[in-house]
Amino acid sequence: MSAVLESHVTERQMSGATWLAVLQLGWREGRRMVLSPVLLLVFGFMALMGGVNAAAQITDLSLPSRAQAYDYIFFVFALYAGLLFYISCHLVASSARRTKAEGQLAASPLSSRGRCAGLCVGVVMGPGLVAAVAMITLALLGNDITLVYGNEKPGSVAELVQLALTVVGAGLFAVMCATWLRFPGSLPLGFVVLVFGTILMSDAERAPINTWPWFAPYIASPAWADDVWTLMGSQAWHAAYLAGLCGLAFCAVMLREREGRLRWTLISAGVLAATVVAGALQI
Amino acid sequence: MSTAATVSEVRRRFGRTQALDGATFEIGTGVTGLLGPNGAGKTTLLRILATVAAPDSGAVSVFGRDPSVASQRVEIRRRLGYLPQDPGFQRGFSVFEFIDYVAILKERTDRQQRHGEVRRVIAAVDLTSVSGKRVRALSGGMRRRAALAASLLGEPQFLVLDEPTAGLDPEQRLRFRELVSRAGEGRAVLLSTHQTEDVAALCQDVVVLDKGRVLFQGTPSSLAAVGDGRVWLADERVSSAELVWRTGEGRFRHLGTPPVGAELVEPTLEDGYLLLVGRFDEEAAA
Repeated sequence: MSAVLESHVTERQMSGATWLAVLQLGWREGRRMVLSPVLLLVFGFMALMGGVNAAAQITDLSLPSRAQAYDYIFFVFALYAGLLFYISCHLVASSARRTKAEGQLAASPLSSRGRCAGLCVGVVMGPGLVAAVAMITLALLGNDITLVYGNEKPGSVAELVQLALTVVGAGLFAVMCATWLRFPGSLPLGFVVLVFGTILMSDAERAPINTWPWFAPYIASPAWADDVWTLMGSQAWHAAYLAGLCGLAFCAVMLREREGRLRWTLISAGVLAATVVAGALQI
Repeated sequence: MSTAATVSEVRRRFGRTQALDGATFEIGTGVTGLLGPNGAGKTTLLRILATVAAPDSGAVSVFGRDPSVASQRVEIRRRLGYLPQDPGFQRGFSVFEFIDYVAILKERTDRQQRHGEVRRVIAAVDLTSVSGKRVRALSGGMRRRAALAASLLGEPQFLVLDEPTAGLDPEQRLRFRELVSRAGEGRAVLLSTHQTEDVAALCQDVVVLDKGRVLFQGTPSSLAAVGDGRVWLADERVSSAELVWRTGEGRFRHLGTPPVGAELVEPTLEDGYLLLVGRFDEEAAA
């Protein structure tokens, strides 16, 4: 028996292998999230409709095509990308449970927490990467143009970072829902909470105080929302606040496993404190 | 034969059902067969040994490690291969992608080596020609072989197989026997099955489980010996026998207490198992 144990590499090497496995798993899961049939279908439909719309307006020579492309990408990401990536990330995160594949996967050395960490890394490496590419594209397109909607000014770097963070946040929220709510209705339930929670929080007219929308898990961008409240706070701190919310969702996923919960509770407390500080500084 | 795993007074309850009720036995290197009727607690026991489930009480040790301790559990899993009774497959994965995915979870991080290992186990279960096909589009037997391939990744020191031959055709079952017997050379394999022929052909040791308790542990020949003097052939059906069936030759094979002058025959492992478990009265009532 001792020969059996000695034939393996050292534990330190194994620990490094675990982290590398989490990263590789993340890359694999991220690819699944981005290549989800649901996503490809809806984005394909949107691209088609965008093309049709552009073709219909081709005679309108006063509209520069760069601004048109900017508007299109911005609105797709501001209104739909988060929700669509929520669905694809939830489908990937819950697929082992739904297909009853957990039995075989549970006996692997990468623990349940490691697999959850892989999913969170996947959100960053998949939807996060797509959002980052889209935001870089927007930054390049937005140079010296006038927009049709909003206050006619392209978003700042901080606003584009916010937009990317809403996509990552939606994905992490999906992983959190799939991890904690392990029943068939968890996808629609999380979807309703995400949509209506965001709408309620970001509705300045319904909010008890006019700074309340800054605490919504959404962009506070004067580039397309010309409400007065968007001009009051700091866009950079709002981006930091959204990053804090993403961190909290990640901590919630890590807290699902019982073992090592104390450590993750302390980390979560630190992330919560940082998020509260960023939330206070943004207004 | 060195000890790979020990199970001591293990109990596990699901609601009102006592799945395991003080099961105690040892698993050494080589192939160990686990036999038992439906509901005997085999799958629960295998899940516990595969570190997927925990017992309510009792002690389990695999390679001298305690699966209830997180760090030791990971060490066990690094040396373990597990094929569940009803393996599931995530949507969209091809055979190669599924096994590669499991290989990542088994911390095979060198891409080139991992892919080589994945191809090796796919070839071992004879699925090379369909490695690019979606797993869910394959037949039940092929899917089972894909899951078996995943459990063979990394040549595990302890292989836990829950009814691996269910749904396999005769040729594949023979191929499987070759695979498992090779896997059992110098390593430990625990094979849960209803196929007593597989146990007779493959196993050096047999454990019979019933109602969550170990009824028997020994060699296949000693299990067959349980039927010594209690199996006989006759031209007519004898109603006092516990179990009777007509053989291919047209004679009646009887299990139970033979009448005086009965033509006794050599018992098989199946005879020994049936006589040991002996639930004929209950089955008749049901």
